[in-house]
Amino acid sequence: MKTLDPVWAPFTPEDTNPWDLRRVAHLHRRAGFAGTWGELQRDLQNGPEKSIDRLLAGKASLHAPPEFASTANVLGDAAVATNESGRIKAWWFYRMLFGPDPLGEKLTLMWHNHFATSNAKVQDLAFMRRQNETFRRLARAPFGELLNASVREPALLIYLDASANRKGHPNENLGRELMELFTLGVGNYSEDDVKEAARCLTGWTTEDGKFTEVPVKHDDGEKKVLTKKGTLAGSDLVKLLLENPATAKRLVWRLCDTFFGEKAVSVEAMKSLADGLIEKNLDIGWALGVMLRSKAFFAEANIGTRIKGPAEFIVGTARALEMFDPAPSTLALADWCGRMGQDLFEPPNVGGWTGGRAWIGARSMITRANFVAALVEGTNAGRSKAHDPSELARQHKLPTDANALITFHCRLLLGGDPTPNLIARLAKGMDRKMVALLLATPEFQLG
Amino acid sequence: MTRTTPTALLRKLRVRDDHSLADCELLLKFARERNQDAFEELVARHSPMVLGVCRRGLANPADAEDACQAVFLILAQKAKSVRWQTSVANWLYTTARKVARNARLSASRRAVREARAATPELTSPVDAMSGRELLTALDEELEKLAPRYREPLVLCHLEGLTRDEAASRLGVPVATLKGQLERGRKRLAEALTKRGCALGSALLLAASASGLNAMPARLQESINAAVAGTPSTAVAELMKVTLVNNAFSKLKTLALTVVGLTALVFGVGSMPTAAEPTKPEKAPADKSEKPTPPPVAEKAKPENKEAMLTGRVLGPDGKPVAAAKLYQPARKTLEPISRDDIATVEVGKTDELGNFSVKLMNESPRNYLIAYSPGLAVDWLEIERSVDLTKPIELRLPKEMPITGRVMNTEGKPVKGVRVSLGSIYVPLNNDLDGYLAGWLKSLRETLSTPVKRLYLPLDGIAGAAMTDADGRFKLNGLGEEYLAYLLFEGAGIARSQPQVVARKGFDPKPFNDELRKKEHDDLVVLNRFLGLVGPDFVFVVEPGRVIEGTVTASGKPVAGCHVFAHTGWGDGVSALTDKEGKYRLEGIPKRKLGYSVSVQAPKSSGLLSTQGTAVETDGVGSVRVDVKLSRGVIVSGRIIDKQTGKGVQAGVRLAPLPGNKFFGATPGTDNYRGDRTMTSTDAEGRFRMNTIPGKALFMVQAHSDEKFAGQYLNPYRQAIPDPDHKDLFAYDADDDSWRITTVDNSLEFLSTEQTVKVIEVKEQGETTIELTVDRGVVGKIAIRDAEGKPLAGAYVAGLTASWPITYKLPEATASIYALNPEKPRKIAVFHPGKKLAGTATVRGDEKEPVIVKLVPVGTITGRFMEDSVPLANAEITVNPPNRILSELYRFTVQERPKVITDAEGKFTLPDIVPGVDFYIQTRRGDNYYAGKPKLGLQSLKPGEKKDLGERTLERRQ
Repeated sequence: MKTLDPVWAPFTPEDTNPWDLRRVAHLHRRAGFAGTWGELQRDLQNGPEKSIDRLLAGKASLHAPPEFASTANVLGDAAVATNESGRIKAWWFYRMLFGPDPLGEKLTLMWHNHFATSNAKVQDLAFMRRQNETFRRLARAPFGELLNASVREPALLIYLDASANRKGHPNENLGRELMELFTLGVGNYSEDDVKEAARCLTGWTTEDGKFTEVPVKHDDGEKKVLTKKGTLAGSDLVKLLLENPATAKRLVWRLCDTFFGEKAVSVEAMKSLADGLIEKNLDIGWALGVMLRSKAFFAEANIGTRIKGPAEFIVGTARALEMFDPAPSTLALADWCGRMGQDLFEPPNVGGWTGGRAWIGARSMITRANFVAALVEGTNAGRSKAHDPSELARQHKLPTDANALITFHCRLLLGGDPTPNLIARLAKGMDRKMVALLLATPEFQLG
Repeated sequence: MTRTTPTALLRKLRVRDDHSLADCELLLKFARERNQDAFEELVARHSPMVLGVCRRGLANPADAEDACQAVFLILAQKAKSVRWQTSVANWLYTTARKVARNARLSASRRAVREARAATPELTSPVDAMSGRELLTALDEELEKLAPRYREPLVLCHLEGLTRDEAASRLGVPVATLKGQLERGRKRLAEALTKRGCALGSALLLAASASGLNAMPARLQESINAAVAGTPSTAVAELMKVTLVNNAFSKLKTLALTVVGLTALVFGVGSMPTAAEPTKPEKAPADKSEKPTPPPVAEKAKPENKEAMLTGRVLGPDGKPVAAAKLYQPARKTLEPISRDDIATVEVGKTDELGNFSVKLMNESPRNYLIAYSPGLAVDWLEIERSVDLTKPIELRLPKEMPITGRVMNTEGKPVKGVRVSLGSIYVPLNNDLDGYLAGWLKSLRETLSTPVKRLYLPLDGIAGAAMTDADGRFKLNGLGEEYLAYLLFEGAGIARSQPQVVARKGFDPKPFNDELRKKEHDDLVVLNRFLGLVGPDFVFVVEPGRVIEGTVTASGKPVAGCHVFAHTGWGDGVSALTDKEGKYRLEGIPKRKLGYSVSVQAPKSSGLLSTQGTAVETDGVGSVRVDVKLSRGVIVSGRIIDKQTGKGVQAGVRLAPLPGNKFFGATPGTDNYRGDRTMTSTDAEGRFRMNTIPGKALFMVQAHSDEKFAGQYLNPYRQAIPDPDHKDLFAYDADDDSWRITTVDNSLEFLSTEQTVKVIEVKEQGETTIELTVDRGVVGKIAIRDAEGKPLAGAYVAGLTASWPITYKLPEATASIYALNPEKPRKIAVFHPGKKLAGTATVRGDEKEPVIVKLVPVGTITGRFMEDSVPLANAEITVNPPNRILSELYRFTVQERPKVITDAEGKFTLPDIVPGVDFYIQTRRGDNYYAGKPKLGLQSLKPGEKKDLGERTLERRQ
């Protein structure tokens, strides 16, 4: 195997780059939805290797209820049966808040954005849930498995009008997005390739809720996609795209976009990881391991340089404050997420959410402030009690005077001690108001 | 125009409220003097309502706000050109509905575009500048601003902070903030104008944020800004209002069905009508034309008062049940407003031989006799007028099927303290649960129209209600094996909900719910929160319940004793009465994307009109405020009389304001016709008294009768014909053989369920009285003959009478045909499923001898349907005659045989075609309908004809 760029070498704590609370909190924010005090302390003790292994293995949470899987199923079934889109969104929030595998949920979120599909058009919660489960199941798998499953998901086929694509009447939607968004990326194919790809995919449709290929609707004529000629079928096209080096590049871009701050990874480093990914059969789990263990991941330039997305922001806040019982209403959380610009299961278009700086707009900032206020107050968030900062501190055997509470919450939520400036700003609010102020600071919007 | 923060604006508005210029005067001021303040006042008065309308119509808040802006811009444009009524609320409302509808269309077009978002050349930048895009532009431009300019804008304009508060939040002196704010606004306006968004920084104010109170004020500002300048592209697009298509949509029909069901589930809880005489309420008229009879005869005949009823109670084994208790419902309060106000009272017990003899109560609000013995389930008799009380009855208690389960919230936690009770019980009439479930697989509508024996009554006093324990578990008794019931979950801060339980051991509801979801998606959306079926042991996931609270006032004073009602889901809702301060509180409301609405009914003696209040959806799950203003109405009274007998007729009466009625919508509550089409019941002598608005209106009568045919309800009266003095207002539908009229809000009233109508002018002062007759017309006779000319019993006849239901199975070979008019003969259709014979005949009613209907062999049509050279497999093929009577007959014939579905090769055989009748072939697969290419056209078969269409190409209808 080619040597990876040195930035991908494993991080080893040094005096200048210690394994401290800041880095532990960073790991949990990026590879999950923020750690609780217990999780942060555990990982601080255990060191990077064990902590990262636990995340990769899907066992990072200390707060998953023992019956999580069966409860999630009941909630999912009930959501589908009611046919209320809010309920399926709430179901996902339940998974993100209570699930044992925060990284898996984060990857699911990433793939939902990669294969963006909206129920506004699909109008079938069973299909949306099924697609979501596929993303989760194959989140860390070699990309070929995920891609092959995803392009055959009824939700995606409906969203991209696959059934309208038939011999003699090509519809380019699926072919175009398959190349532009799911694999190669813009600039790596021509308009002719799109047309020919659409011909390869003719006959792909859904019947009785399952993927099916209708031979009579398939155009079995000679085609030429990129450099390959032949009577290519849909599966040949998918194989061809998986083999194209541009796909690995796009995947690395997607992973970096999800797990790194703006410009935290150089073009060369991304290229080097993409080369490695090709050698590893596009194994996402492998790439994740390299990335999360890397020097680049724990580099100063990568800490606190990423704008938290709405779902990360919401789940992370509730998690870090240990709002598990009573938990905030997942229906309300999902609604807030939509108001902040990330309406799960209803991305704005096939390109998904732009993310990054686009999360910060006038409307979303106000919603974030309203959300944190509601969350700490409790009632409007569906909690029977308000957040009690002293109680949380006491639980962890920490002092509860005003200054100590500020310090504790800054360490928990920001991963470090507050600056004098921040202390002054926070001192304007007492008790849970202080927490609300902290959650509304620009610092907390970054992760 | 001066800029103010929302808070300041609100303050300003409150002061202005003291002014009392009428809308039209304000508009005049605006039109003549370009007086912005005058227009702002109008915006302040009406924008919450307009926004409410838009938000109800549009799921996307940004779309709703654009639509709201557009409405006011149209108002500004038309200010000069239109002669305005005193209040513009009505005009605004109508316009808002039209604009919202247009916006919805353009939103759906946008949704189509979404899938092709990766092909940018398709959409020009200007086209793309619809609501959401505009706000994206705003976000982008805001982002480009230096933070020191951006933040003050966000805080002051979107969050509604005062400058002092914002300065403190940002840690800058107030003077600095002020400077930043001004410069920021200027730069943003420039940037947005450059992008072609002429609304400039006013767009900032249109951006949606949470905060119920801040929203209208913010929006008001942006509207005012837009009126002073040029509207945005999206808003301008919406202003191109097209005339409303007045078609009586499927949606409306369904909505009415739901209202009807609510009333039934609720029994007396459903909005009592305001006028005397007091009657137990009936379900509002059901226009969905389903064959279940209207809910007449829920009250025993007056002569049945204090009647004795005897009978016996048997167990599942057919053996007598001793010491079984007998109950009747009774009201706990004089005017019950919810199911909690109904109790069950023990009226007797069976002896050792299972026999009983009970004295029936006079004042029972729902006339049932219910038997129950612990360990077994309830059985009951609905004491209709037709029940012969002199004969002993038999009640059979089935084996009990306890319902067990666990209540969990959306956070996966068990919920303690949830009250679980039986909302209502159903048993398919022939005890054929399998048949009922098969209907469920066909369609929701068919399921709802399956004849069932119902018990709409809380049974808490009999079999008890259950309460969930700390683990969320409950066990509920009293339900029988093979029974169906709505289970009511309420309390403990949850949203009230009523899933339907099937009391069959091991019942798996999933296939049924999946099938229904696939087939009836649109309907389910309309029937919001239809929860489907559950088995006898299940986990039920509950949502958090919100609170709606507010104050009801009239002329600024609180109104006590108002009945306030809000829907909580399909056929269910919660009620409360306002207190001395006019305050009310409703709990258990589910979070709703489309906002909230309450109906308010003032006490009968107050003379106030019922109305509705609305609120938009807010973030979180806390309480929602809905304040409601009421207006005074006038009285219309009179009597409905049978033309032939001269006696009073029990009927439901209703008024629809007609176009040009200036009182409609003039003050709050005078437009309740929009949402409330509840009928007022007459007493047994046909007398009625109702509270309504003055002005021109159509008075409509739905007569009921005690008559039955073959055990089924029969309406013997002719259908309504146009008022001879106002013929021009009515339009005729030949296929449906019925009349319709356009009402004040441009909706349509179809008069197919009315027996008489009249255009009246309701007086502004004093009482308006009216006396109307309903006409039985003449009664004819038919005699059915088979192909050999022999009398034949057991045929279905469609057209037996004029009003719904019109199709009956004949026990004999002859039958009467009701409500005929010799000048307008009726074509009836007959089908005998057993003999495969059918025929048609025309009956006038003045024939000397019975009209002979000679039946001939039915025809068959076969064919093969292809789509894109592929067989169209699994499609359902039905006969669809344009004529109402014939299509109704087909609804019955279909029930007698399996559905016709195309096979894998697209082939089908459609049997039982009535010869000589025009029909279309309807092809449906899933949600999609197919049409022939070229069109298959109107078909008609000769007796016994076997027609083969051959191979035909069909395409999906868009």
